Amino acid sequence: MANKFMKNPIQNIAIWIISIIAIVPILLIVINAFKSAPEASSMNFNLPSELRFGNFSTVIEKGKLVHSFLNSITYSSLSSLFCILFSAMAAYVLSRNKTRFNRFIYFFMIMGIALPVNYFTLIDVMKWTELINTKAGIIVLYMVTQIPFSVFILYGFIGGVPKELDEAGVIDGCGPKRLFFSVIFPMLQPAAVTVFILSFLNTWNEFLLPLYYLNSANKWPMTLAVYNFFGQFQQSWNLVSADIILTILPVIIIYLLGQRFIISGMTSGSVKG
Amino acid sequence: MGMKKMLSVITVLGLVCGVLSACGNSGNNNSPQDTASAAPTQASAPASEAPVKKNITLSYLASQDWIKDSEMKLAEKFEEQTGIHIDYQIVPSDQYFNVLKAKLAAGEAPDIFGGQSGKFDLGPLYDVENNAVDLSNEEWVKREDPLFVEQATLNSKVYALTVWDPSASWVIVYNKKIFEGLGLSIPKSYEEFLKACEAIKASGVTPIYEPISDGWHHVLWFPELGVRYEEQDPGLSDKLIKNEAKFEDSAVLEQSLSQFNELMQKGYLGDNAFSNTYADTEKNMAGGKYAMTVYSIGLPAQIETAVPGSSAADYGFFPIPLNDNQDLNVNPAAPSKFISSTSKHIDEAKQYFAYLTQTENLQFFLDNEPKFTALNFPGVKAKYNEEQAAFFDTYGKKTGTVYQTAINYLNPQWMDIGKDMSAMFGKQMTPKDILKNIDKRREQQAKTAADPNWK
Amino acid sequence: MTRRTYPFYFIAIALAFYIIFTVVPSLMGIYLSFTDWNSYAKAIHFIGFDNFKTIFSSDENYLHGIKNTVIFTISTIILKTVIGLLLAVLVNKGIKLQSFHRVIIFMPAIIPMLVVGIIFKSIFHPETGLINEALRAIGLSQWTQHWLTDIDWAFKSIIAVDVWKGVGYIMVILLAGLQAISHTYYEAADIDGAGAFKKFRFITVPLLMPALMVTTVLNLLYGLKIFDTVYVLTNGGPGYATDVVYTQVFSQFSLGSYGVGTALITILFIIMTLLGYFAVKLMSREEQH
Repeated sequence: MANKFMKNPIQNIAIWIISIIAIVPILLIVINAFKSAPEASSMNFNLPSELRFGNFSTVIEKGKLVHSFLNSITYSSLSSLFCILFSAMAAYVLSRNKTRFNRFIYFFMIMGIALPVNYFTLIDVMKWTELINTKAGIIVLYMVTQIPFSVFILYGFIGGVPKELDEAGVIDGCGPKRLFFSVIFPMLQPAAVTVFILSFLNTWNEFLLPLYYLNSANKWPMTLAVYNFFGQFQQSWNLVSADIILTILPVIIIYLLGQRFIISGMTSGSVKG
Repeated sequence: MGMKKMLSVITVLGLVCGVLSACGNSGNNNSPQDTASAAPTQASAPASEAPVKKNITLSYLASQDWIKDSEMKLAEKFEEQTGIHIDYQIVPSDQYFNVLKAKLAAGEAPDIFGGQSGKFDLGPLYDVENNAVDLSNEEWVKREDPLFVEQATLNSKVYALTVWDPSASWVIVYNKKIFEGLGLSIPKSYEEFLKACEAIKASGVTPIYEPISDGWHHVLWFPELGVRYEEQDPGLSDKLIKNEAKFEDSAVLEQSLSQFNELMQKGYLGDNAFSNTYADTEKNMAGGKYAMTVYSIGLPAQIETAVPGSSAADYGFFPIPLNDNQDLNVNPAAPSKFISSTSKHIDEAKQYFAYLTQTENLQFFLDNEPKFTALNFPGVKAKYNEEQAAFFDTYGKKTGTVYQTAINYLNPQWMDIGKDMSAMFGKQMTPKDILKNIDKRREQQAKTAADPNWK
Repeated sequence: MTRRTYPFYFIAIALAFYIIFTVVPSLMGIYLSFTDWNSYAKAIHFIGFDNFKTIFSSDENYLHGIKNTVIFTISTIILKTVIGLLLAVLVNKGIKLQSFHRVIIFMPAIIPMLVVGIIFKSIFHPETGLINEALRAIGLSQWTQHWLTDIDWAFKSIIAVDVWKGVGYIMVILLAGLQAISHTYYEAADIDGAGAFKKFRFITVPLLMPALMVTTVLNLLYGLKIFDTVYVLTNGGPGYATDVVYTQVFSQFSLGSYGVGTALITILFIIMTLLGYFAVKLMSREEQH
């Protein structure tokens, strides 16, 4: 006990140092988002003379952020949800039924993590499937880009879910769909939430696919607004900073919400013991 | 796998696609502006009912920085008058060309697309004969500055509209107070320039603000001197274009690189040149820590706006003095607007170009764009102040085209030249090595383009 | 029973999407690396292995880019795994405000790379940057550096920024792995009187192996594909000092040589497939133990 008591202050100090390193660059943005343009001309830690909330309304108006925010939410949440559903189904069967063929399929699918997107040839595929210039197309693409990674992570975690559950389910007369959706899928909650957060995050920050496969700025996501801001207002670091904050805020919220689920997932995961 | 399972797979897939496309459609319906380019049939219906207002959307793809705020304001007025909406799709500059290329190749071109003009690029890079509409008979062609029209012309057909600042040459902007304080006058030769730099450095001020960190700015010192190279070695540019001469063998080209390197090695660019950024130019030039920088003549006004308490009147101009240059470098290649040959609204796009080029609209455009001082159309009143007017009076007599526009296969390797020049500053390359690399990359491009001069 | 309990159509949906939107375009891309495809040509011709010959016979310094890519990959795997594991253990239990720290440390992963570039160029500025100003303030001005523009420091700074951004991500995966370990193991160990280190060594590490393999494979594939961190911070500079394979590919593309660029990508993909294959093999072996 004494040992633990001695260790804790060191651990606490260590974690505080790391947290400060992690947060300082972000604080830099937050502080500068409230400054006037000349004050923010060199990004530094001098406090603003007054808090200028007007920067945020300027950004929302000039960047048409409300519309692009809704687009981003649609793309990231739908694609992440579909991605989890399909990846979990695939990872479940691949992990439970390890035939030679399934092992090959597993490897074949996770190699997608290493496959770079070929924008030029993908445009042809988008035309064949008639998904080009549609929001649905972007959702499908975002989902697909996250599938290999999600299968990879979920596969590992499904290995930790006891197989006895499946057998019990089968004895109870569950079909494969019911077995998966009412027994297995709820068990995957911690991993599924992790995958959702990571894939939401990846798709939220991605902006190249919409550039190539949408023909209207009305369908563009929020991240592109940062770029346009950066081009138009390169001198106005205060506006760029305000824009960055608004862009990353939703992801932070998603993470904050999801992070609770990870903890509750842990406690409910004690079915085993 | 049984037939039944196969069927259920197809059903699930169908369901998923159904759900997805349903949500895609609802997204489309929410925004009326989308409909025009996606579904022209819908757009033509209201047009017949109300002939004046057309309810059409023109998609316009362009790179960052090419579309000015004042053009967007004009587009709003245009929409009020005609009902034609311009949907600006502004793409990050490092992605722009690939995005455009992919869309052109797939037949998914926007109605209007941006492109850097330049007579060597129109064919090979944009394939304008297939991708763009011939604009030769438009009224504004007769008014646009012929130097600019030339860069948008291929096989005597004009393919693009260029509305840009013809005075946007890269020159040395200097702090008059620092020069006066040290009793310095404008240098007329490289020798005098060196002496001035030495005196400035000795006074504790860094002579030149050079933002190398952006990767492109320090390259300017080399190709912008095109007019001087031609004066020193007449016919050089023609021989380079036809592959009858090499960069490597040219003494004048090596001279300017060596002199630029000398400025660096003598510490005239300061200790922080590699970390300096272009966006910080105004702040640093206003601070008095730097005496000169390469910029357009619009910089003093920008400094005055960006830094409270500074005055535009404190700055003057002279040409980049490497190789004893005293001439004015002009670059008539600039961001331009093309109309796609596959567009369903060619007439409306032409109408937009005609609207933009009405003299009062050009004047509005210029007056509301802080970075421009003049336009390449007659009848538009330029915003020259005394200092700028004096500069053009002194140096405007002998002008010539910069090398990145005058010589083929040079502009695409701009950033690579930048890397080579940084390596020269770090003493890892000689000026001759840089020229060799330029030749090598030109050859590679010429061969991929199957240029007969490189056979 | 397996076939009925674990039906193929569970796999088929994800697989079908994956094949149509990822594999097919990539195969078409691999075909293009055997063509003279470029930004000037109107038609594309099959030219066999010419692009690959250009790469291997050329005196361009591709080896330098490959070397940097490997150094980057190995250093980030080690740094992110070690720091990430320590952090995951720390924020799992035993400290105050653990949820707060979890959120804070993960934050850098959320920021778009473009923004990271903007922030760190400003922080690393030798004159006005936060790091050098802080060093001067505490009297360590001899430690100040030109972080991004000195040949000895530029690549180290890039690696540091990448670890800063990525370590929270790794921490989250390892944390999820830690939380999947049942309490019963630790309770049993407590009864046996095992110390904290023994518990870490004999329970945490082995049971965390699957998660550690996940992070290693992810870091490996991410590291070999590295582009944006380098691009936004130095774009391969000063000179060519920090060039990696993908910044070289990017230069090829901007010169219009799409064929050569795709051939470079194809080569890198083959290397990644082989390394990925061995990593997965290794992982499934570990899993069986």
